[in-house]
Amino acid sequence: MSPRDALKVLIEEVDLEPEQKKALLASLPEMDDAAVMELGTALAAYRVNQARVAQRAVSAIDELMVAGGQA
Amino acid sequence: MEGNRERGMMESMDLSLRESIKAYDSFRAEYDALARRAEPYLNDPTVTEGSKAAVRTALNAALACGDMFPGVGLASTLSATTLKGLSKADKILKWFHAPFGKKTDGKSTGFQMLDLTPDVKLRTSLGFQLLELCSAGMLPMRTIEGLMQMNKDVPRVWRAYKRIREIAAAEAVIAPKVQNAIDVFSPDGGAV
Repeated sequence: MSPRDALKVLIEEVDLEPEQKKALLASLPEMDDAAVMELGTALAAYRVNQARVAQRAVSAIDELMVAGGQA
Repeated sequence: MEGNRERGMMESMDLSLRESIKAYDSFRAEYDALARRAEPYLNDPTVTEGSKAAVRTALNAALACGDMFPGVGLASTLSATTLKGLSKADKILKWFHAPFGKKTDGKSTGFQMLDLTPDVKLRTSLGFQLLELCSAGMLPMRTIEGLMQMNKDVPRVWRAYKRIREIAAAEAVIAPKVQNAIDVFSPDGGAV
């Protein structure tokens, strides 16, 4: 997968406003390689962080459910 | 001398104003990020219903504690029944004002939100009120009414809890296509 294709996938994946997504996708062909790498790295880090936070929330909920079940 | 002091004061004011604006911008960015993250949860009807049920359960539990004391119990039952009556009246007025043959939009108004036992019928509540008055506030009727509502609300809270878990679990899973895209930019630190 080329960095540009990967960036397109990430823009569509992260929870940006629809207008922001549209604007980013429209400006994608004009972006230079450095900008693609910079934005792609930021969005990748954001998505990974979001998944980590969600995973922690799920673990916390599971622990509470177990505690609630025991009580 | 005087001019220098004034200039110095103006500069420090300008600096503190700039710092305040910067702090506000940073707070605003944090708030927006938090709001965006909370949006899938807050927009979910099951979670909204469960949150309301949780607040109601807490308030009903507090009122049940108050009901243990005869004088306070009578006041709490009376106020709860009055609020229920107002809520019912508001619902009827809304129904009258709705266009003929059309149902109301189903949104709760301020008065309807005040009713802490919406699943208990008004006539049941009035019956409890009568019993409480007959017993001079000795019978814990508000607690019984609260327990009847809790019986409906606790499953709602439980459903909301499970729904929150479902939403978080969906966010925690990264689709293979997205994982491939992440690997392009951070091949070493992308794994969750």
